[in-house]
Parts: sequence; C-alpha cells; structure tokens
Amino acid sequence: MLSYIIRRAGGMIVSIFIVISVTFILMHSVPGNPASVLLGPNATPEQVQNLNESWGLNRPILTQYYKYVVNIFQGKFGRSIYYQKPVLSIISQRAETSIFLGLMSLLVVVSVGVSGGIIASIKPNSWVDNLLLLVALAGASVPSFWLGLMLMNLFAGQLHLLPSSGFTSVLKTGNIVNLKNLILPSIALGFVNAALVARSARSSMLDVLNREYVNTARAKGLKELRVIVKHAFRNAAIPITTIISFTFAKMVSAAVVTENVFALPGIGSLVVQGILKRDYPVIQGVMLVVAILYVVINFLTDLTYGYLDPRIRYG
Amino acid sequence: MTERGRLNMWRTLTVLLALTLVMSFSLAAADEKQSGALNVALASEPGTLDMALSTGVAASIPARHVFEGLFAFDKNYKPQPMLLSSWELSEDGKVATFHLRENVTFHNGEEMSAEDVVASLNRWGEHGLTKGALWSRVEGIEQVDDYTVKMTLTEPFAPLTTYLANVYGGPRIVPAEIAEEAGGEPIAPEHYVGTGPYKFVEWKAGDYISLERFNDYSNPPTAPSGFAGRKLAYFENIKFSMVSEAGARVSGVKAGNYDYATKVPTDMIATIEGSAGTEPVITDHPPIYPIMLINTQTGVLADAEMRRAVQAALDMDSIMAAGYGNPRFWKLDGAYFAEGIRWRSLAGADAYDQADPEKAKEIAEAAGYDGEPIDMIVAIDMTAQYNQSLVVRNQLRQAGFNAQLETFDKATFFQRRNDRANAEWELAFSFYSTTPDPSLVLMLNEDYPGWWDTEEIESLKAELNTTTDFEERYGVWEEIRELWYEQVPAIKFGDAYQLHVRGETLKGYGTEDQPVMVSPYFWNAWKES
Repeated sequence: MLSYIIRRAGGMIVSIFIVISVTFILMHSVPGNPASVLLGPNATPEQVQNLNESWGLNRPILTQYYKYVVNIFQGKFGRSIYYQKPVLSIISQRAETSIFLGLMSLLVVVSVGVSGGIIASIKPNSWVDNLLLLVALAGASVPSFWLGLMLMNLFAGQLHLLPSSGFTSVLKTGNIVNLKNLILPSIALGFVNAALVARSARSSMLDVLNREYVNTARAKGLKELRVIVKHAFRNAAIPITTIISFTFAKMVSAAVVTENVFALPGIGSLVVQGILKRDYPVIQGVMLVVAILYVVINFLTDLTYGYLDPRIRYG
Repeated sequence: MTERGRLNMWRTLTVLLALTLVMSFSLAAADEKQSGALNVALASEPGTLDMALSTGVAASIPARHVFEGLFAFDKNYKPQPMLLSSWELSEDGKVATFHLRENVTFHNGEEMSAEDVVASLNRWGEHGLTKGALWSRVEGIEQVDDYTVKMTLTEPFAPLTTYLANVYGGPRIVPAEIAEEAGGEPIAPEHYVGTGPYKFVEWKAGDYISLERFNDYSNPPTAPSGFAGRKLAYFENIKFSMVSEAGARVSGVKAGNYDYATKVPTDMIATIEGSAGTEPVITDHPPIYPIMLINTQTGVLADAEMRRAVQAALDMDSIMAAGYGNPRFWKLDGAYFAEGIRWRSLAGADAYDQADPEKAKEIAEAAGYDGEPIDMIVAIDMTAQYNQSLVVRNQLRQAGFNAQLETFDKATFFQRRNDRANAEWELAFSFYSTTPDPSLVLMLNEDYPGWWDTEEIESLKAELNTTTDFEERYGVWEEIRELWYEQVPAIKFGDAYQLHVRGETLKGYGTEDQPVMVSPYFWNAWKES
C-alpha cells in the first residue's frame, strides 16, 4: 500500500507540473496584457508599456517561467496584479464559497441523482422509471443559468423566502445561517449534475441487478431492500463513485455560470476574471490549486474502490 | 421698560423661538435620514480605485466617495472648488495659485497640506492617464506655505480647472507618502486614503468593496450641485457588490438585497416598471457616445476621401437600434456633445447619417478603391459595440466595401487597437463618456488610436488650448467639428443612455441639484426605513 501511495504521489507531482507549465505558456502566448486592461481604453500605448515594465512583464518569457517555477517550489504563489494581494489569500477567501457550494450541491446530487437512479432501476420501463428519465433528461437539458434565474426570481424576487445572491463567510462570522445564500445556487448546480448521475446510477444498477449473485440473494429469501442496498448497490457503486467524485471536483472548481448568476465569490469565476484581466499570478495559482484538487480526488476515489470491492488490491 | 422696548423684546424672543424650532426640525429631519447600509450592485469589478490610472466608470463609482480633487464638476459640468477655499490666476494666465481649505482631514487622521497636493499632482503629472495637454504646459508646481500651492505654466491653458476636476484618469489628492510610494503603479487598496465622505474598508476580490462613513469629513461651504458642494453621508456604510449577471442585479433589487444596481439591459425596463418596489433610472445626464475609430495613418482608409465614403454609407438609425434596442435609450445626434452641454455644436453635421450607399460607392471609386479589405475590430464582450459592428459591416458591404470583422476579448482588442507600429485594422468600435471640455476629447489626441495628426487639427488644438474666452473657444470648437466631418478621424453614431435600477426606499437620489449621472453617487441620499 505504501509503495502504491509513493508511486501515485510521484505521478501526481508530474501531472501538476505539466498543468502549471501548460497554463503558463498558454496564458503568456495569448495577446493582451494586464496593463492594457487595467488602464482601459483611454491609455496611450506608452503608458501601457511603462506599467507592464514596472510589473516585470517585459522580461523574456523563459526568465519569467524560471522565476515562477522557482517561486512555486519555495511555496511562493506571487501577488495578484489586479488586487495587489497574495494569490494564496485570494484563493483561500474564494475557496470557502466554492467548497460549501460544492458540498451542498453534492447533497442535491446524491439525494436526487443516486436515489432517483436506484428507484428507476428497480422497476425498469415502469411509469416511475419513465418519469425519472424524463426529469433527468430535463435536468441535463436545462441550462443552469436559466434554472438559477428562475429560482431566484421565484424564491427571492416574488416570495422573498431566500436571498437572491451574494455570500458572507461562515467561517469568518461564525454564522451558519449564511449558508441559506447557497440554497438556491446549490439546487441550480446540483440538479443539472444530478441528472447525469441519475442516468449513470440507473444503468449501473440495471447491469448489476441482472447478475446471478443478485438472483441468488433473492433466492435465499433476503428482503428486496437488503438485496438492493447490500448486494446490488455496493457492486454498482464503483462507477457511481467515480462520476460523483469528478462531479464534485467540477462543482467546486468550475461552477462559473452558477457563481456569476448568484454573484458568489468562488474559484470558477476567479479564474475566468483572471483570464479576462490577464492577471497571470491568479490564473496560475488557481490552476495549481485545481490541479491538486483533481489529482487528490482521483487518488481518494481509487482508494475508495478497495473499500467498495475488497478484491481490488494495491501493490 | 418702555412699550417699544417690550415689543422689541417679544419680537426677539419670537424670532429666537422660531429659529430654535426650525433648527430642531432640521436636526430631527437629519436624524431621520441617518441610514444603515447601502447595498449597490455593480455590473463589473473595477481594476483599481486609483483614478489617476483608471478611466473606468465602474472604478469611479466607489472612488468618488473616497477620493476628492482640488475641483469638482457641478450639475452643469462646470468646475467648482472642492478642496480649495479659493484660487486665482495671474493676469498673463500663466500662474495659478490654489488656497487650500484648512482642517481637511485625510482618512488616516492627518490634515491635508500643500505638500500632499504637490506630491499628488506631481505623481499625476508623471503617470496620470489624462495629464497630456495640461502637463506639457506645466513649468513647475511648488508649495508656498502649508495651505498654498502655486502652479506655473509655460503658456495660458484655458481648461486648467477642468483637467483638475476630471475624475477619469485625473488627479485625486492623497497623502504625500502614499503618492510617492505608489509612483507609476496603482495605489494598493490598503493605502486608499482620501478626503472623501466615506473611507475605504475592504476589497474582497471579485466579491465586494466596502466603505464606511468618515465622521471627520470636512464639508465645503457651498450648496450641493452635481459632484460639487456639500456632501452629507447619511449611510453608515456602503457596500459595492460585483454582480455580473444582469438578471441577478434586478432580482436583487426586487428582493431588497440591493438598493441600487448599475447597467441593466434596456429590454428589462418593462419588468422594472411593472414590479413593485423598483424604479428605473435612466442615465441621460449626459449620455454615452458610441463611436467608430478610423485608422488615419495606414491601410486603405489613410486616404481622407475613403473615410468620407465610409461616412456616406452609414445609416445611423439601424446602427443605434442594433446597439441599444428600445428607442427610449438612444437618440440620433450629429453633434459631439449632447443637448444641455454648453459645447454642443451641429457644425458640419450635414454629413451625419447620410445612409447613401450609392454616394459612398461613387466617392470610393473616384478615390481608386479596388476591393482592398477593410478590417474592423471589436471586443465581443462589449455587446452594444459588437451588435453595431455587425450592422456597419453589412452597410459597408452594401456600399461595395470589402468589410471584414474580427472579434476579440477586451484585453486582446485594446492591445491590437493601440499597436500603432503594427496597426492591422481600419475601423475599431468603442464608446466614450462625455468630457467636460473639448480638449479632453480623446480623438483629438494625436497619440490616441486613429492617430489624427493633420496640420489643420494641430493648429486648431493649439488655439483651443490657449484661448481663454469661452465664446472664442466655442468658435474654435465649431471649426474643429467641421474639420472632423471633413477629415473623418472617427464617426459618432449617436447618444446612448444606460438603464440603472433602484429600490423605492432610496430617497434623495436624482434631485434637481444632484441629477442622475452615468456614475452614480450616494452622498446626500438616504434610505427610508
């Protein structure tokens, strides 16, 4: 097990290094620069050049890359050109929103997606199955921004039950009630993703429910609920876990549309804003964190397989 | 006491009683206006609040509450002293002496002095975005005493106070040590120290900027007018949230989460007018000007005859409708400055909105046009400009031009547009806020994209800047407008207004003395509980 973890860790570091290098090269290759965005349309080219020079952006790209890599190995993520704050502090401020949004959306995904998929698979082609498939199809087809705006208009604009947008830190204020700001966004984000998980859960369960060992369990006289939960679901769980884990990573790191609609200060919108403003340190910092998030979740998912299916061994 | 004496005594007492009552009512009214938090939803996040290095409207909204200049524009866009008690200009127009108001405190508790003003102006003179025409005439600036600053010019400069009042890329007064430390880089948020009625508290990246009432604010003695005069800070704090989705801004005002939201799509006006608790705000004082810049230096449009051909082809009605939709939000206008601005002139405007593709074809043929590509560039995230560019492309093609459109994100667009040495465009789309003086019109700057630098315009510009009498300057401006239509360095499509939305509990906003402007300001406004 230990040697497996060490091998995987090595692979993870290489993957992360590739991601940050590609990000660096791509971002510095596209036209545009932070000074021209900051100074706006009225700046003269000379003023733009002067500011870029003072930020060190006129140095050769290889020099900049070398400095960036050295800094990363020293734990220095740099300062945002725009916000003039350490990148790590900006990311950590944003991470709270994204993690809470991801977790609450995951709740929607699991409760709606997984349970919907299991229920649909128990009686395939019944009206329940058809109804759930229809809902899943609608969920996969509805744009999350439209769903978000509809929810916002109804629950915030008309009924005044929930706040329309924004999020105030729970950790900073100690006020857990602030999470109510994330209810509508997590429904909008979770529902769309739940649809995909439901379809995947249904097909995995259908595959397993037709296996001989399930028939054997039924023949033994076990109750149907026990057969489904203990025998069928556990074996169908591996593909479902894989999809859920990557859905979670996606909901944490790339919920740009939902974050924009609900004005949530999350990781996804930070990187998009960073790209539009050519705030290189922010883009590189976020991409590094997101790369770490993905490889860690991937690694943990692999470890979960062993728990779900003891036949899987790591060596 | 005589009868007359008793009468006088009663009169005096009655007057005193009346005065006491009036003062009590005023104080009670002022107390009633004291409000908690004001929540404003901004459509986009500013790059910096350091206005010397920003010309963005989004930046100016919070910045106006924190920073002040020596002058500020009143409701008629005339500069009025703000941080000054008085000022005078020598007879030859070359020496300006500024007398600072005493006891004006910065947000860090220190009193503003002449040293701070000199340092702030020097920094702006070196790095400010709109220093141009003024700073090239500044011979020196010196501190006379703690409250007096002297500026010496090489020649008279008529729009001196306009430049000092201008917020977009203009000079704001900050403590000397902050101005010196910042140099050419934007002032860091932790050093946002001004003299305004609100002080900076926090900028949470991509989320919000929060301000808090500055209790030691020193008010000017004059009555409120536009951005000038008395500024009463009724709100305890102001939070400017970044809400990029327009629907979310409107829903937020409906739900009471925001009291004011900027830049709402104009097709939402019916929703806003039909909802209880929200009111539309149309920013027509003044409008914004959508404009197409033309590369006068290289490519097929370097020939003024060809630029006149392009001008003849355009049908402004379709172009403005494509950009701004509902006709309540735009107007055709051949003048550069909108109605109500004293510089408005229709000189040369016969050439506006000709919508004559046949005439355009004839002029182009006579100029020897042979189907060379006319490259148009636009930023796709500037929606109105992108929509307008599509219509312009079609109109030019109908007139026989080989018009090609390239779209970019803003950062790339600005870089390509500004690159004079490798300019690969003929037409570029943008929009501009009005300027309080013609000398600040960007298209007149020979270094600005389009690079209009003919002998005629250079000579008229010199005359505009050195002539001090308004009537004479207006005459020069009329000549410039005629030349503009003749040499066509840029084409203005019309006037456009923005739609903002406010909650109905926001009071004292958009009054006769403090009209609604493109950049909203919230001093002297309050919230009804």
